[in-house]
Amino acid sequence: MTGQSTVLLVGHPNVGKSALFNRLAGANITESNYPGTTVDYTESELHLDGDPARLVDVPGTFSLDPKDRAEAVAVEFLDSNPEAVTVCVLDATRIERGLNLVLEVLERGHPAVVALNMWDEAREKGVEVDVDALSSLLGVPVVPTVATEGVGVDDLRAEVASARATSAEAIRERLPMAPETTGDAPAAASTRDEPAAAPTDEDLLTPAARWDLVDAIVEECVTYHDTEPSLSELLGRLTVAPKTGLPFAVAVLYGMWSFFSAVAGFFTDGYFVPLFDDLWLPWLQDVFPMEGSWLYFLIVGDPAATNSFEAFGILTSGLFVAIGVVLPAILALYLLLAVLEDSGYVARLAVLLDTVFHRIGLHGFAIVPMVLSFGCNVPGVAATRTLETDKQRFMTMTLLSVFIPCGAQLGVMLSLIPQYTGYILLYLLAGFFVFGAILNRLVPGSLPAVAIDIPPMRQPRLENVATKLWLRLRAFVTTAVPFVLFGVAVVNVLYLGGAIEWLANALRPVLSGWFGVPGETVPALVAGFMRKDLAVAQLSAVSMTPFQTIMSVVMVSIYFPCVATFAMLLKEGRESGGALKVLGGALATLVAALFLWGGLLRLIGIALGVA
Amino acid sequence: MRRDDVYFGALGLAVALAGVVAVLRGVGIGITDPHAIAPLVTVAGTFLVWRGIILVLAGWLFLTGATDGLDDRENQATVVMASLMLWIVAGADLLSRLLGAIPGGPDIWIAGPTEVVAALGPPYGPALLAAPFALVALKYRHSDGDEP
Repeated sequence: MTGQSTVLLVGHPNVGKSALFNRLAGANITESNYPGTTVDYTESELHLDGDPARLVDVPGTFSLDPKDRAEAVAVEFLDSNPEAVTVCVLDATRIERGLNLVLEVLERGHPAVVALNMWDEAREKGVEVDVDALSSLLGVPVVPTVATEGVGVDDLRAEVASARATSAEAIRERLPMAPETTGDAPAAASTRDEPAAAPTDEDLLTPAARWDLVDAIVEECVTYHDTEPSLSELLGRLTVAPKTGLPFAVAVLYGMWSFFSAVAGFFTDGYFVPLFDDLWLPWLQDVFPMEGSWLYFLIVGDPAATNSFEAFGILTSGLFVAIGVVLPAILALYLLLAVLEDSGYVARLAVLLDTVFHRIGLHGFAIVPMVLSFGCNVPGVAATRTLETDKQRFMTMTLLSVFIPCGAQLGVMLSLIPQYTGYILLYLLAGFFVFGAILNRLVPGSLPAVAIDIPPMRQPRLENVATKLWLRLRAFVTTAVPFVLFGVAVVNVLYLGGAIEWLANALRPVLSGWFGVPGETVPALVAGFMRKDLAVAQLSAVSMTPFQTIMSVVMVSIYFPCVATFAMLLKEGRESGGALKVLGGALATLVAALFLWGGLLRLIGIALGVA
Repeated sequence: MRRDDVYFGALGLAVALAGVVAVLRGVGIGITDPHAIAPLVTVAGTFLVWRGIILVLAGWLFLTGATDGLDDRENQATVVMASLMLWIVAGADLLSRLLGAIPGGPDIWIAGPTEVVAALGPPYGPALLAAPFALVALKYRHSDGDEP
């Protein structure tokens, strides 16, 4: 560490730490209305009276006794920065639990400031907090904030300089009616506001004693008034009750799918197809020199092609798939995801589907990585960090990377085979649960019961949705588009070198014999390692029956994850039981899924007389 | 019985019936499109089964809210939820018509206002027809909503 001071934002998941971080530092990191948005730390610079300080948004944690990797990151940060000012961010509507964490932080001797966030919602719910009394009792500054609106942020910034350390015993002494010290309370706790330099385990309160202290503080400073539940609260309750929540979920999923189809179709079929096929492709075929050369083949592709899907050059198919097909699909899907995340609905979907996920050894919050994976598998795999056990993380990572098609792939599927996309998606989702149930029996490990907050239903903020959309689109354009172009180049080079023909001949017995698809699908399998969307696009150039098209799209979806997801699996695997174990397990699963689930689809096709 | 119990009960019945027709037509049972009798309405198009299922479920929620009594806040919320489901289907239909009409076809980048308005004209699906009637549920935003 340098001489620069450090400020840590600490609090439970989904109390608005990231929103506060953005307001304090003028940054733009992702904020969402569900727990576990921040699974790694983010840092920026904060100016305190002209002096720069390092501001860190650490992952949410329920206590300083970590239960998952994200919580462990938070605790490591506190342990390795004992001098850091800790801004304890509390959900003012659920102040008791937040105070418990505040006490844990104070017991460890960190100078702290308390931000009572969601102050507006607390007042609406009839929770009245005497801020001055709370500050006096805790011995640290307390500032009411509404992070999403920027309320109280300047006051909080001003109070960071006044952060103080205190101790549980000092708080107890300040209470008019201190709770009785239980036998297992700390024996040697300091009676000064300054705690012992390096608190030992003996200095820490037991959970029971800490809760007693929280109750006593709340008794002094918080008043609860009866209020009638608002419509959004009532709707929130209905969305998690199966009788009403499941019908609503069906409507939401239909709405998502319709919006996705309409917006992606508007841009792709309405504008990009004519733009690329009628203007760009003929122009490029005209002006690009050296027709018949390897360079022409690489850049423009087939000189006789009449549409950009079939040309398969870097600047024809590559650009068309990336910009003309995938970008509009990603735009629509990311917009929907941002709205659903910020409304609090994703967390409710998790609760609603908890029973279903329990049958495959996961809990409902596995829906969060799953929903994210429909945008892109990479953040989906990263989001598995909030799951508790190695077994859950391995299973979720594997199932996501094998069975969940990303938004880009869905966009291409929707453009090429709209009439079959829904069925393919249903078949893949069925595979997710069938193989989940199998993995649950095969993989050793436990399924701990978890209690997770359901965030309130909120109207998504336009500013936050726009920021999130921009960050995700920028990430797509800067990382995925080069991969698409590179993928086209690799496939074309392999074509020129004869490797594709060799592979097609070598794999033909398996492809035709087991899956019933032609050997010409090999280039798509090669491209699929770069980008799945590119692979699906390439299948459009192969002459196949409708069933073969469905079969090959399912194969490409199940088969090897794209290189970016592969890299993320490696990275996350290191932290979840070992990279080799995770990757080996994932590969074994995908091979089994490819042959069994793919083979089953062919059997269904044969039974129906269409294969 | 309150007037809004009767109102949302009737709306629920109509929506559920339209949903049943959509599901039956969607699975290929030979029911004539109501368009043949009433030119303003049609039960056709893509995702017909799904749209039908949602309408049946929304109708059922309207009926549940109405029969359990709309003097209760939770039942009012149930009716709002059913309305939201109806608006989702109607909104998706409207958006699809609008975005489908704007590009205008070959050599026309943006269609003229006449073409766009024509695309938004009748016949309409049951959800679009029922959606305005569900707007009454907005009065339940606050607990002091009066009867219509």
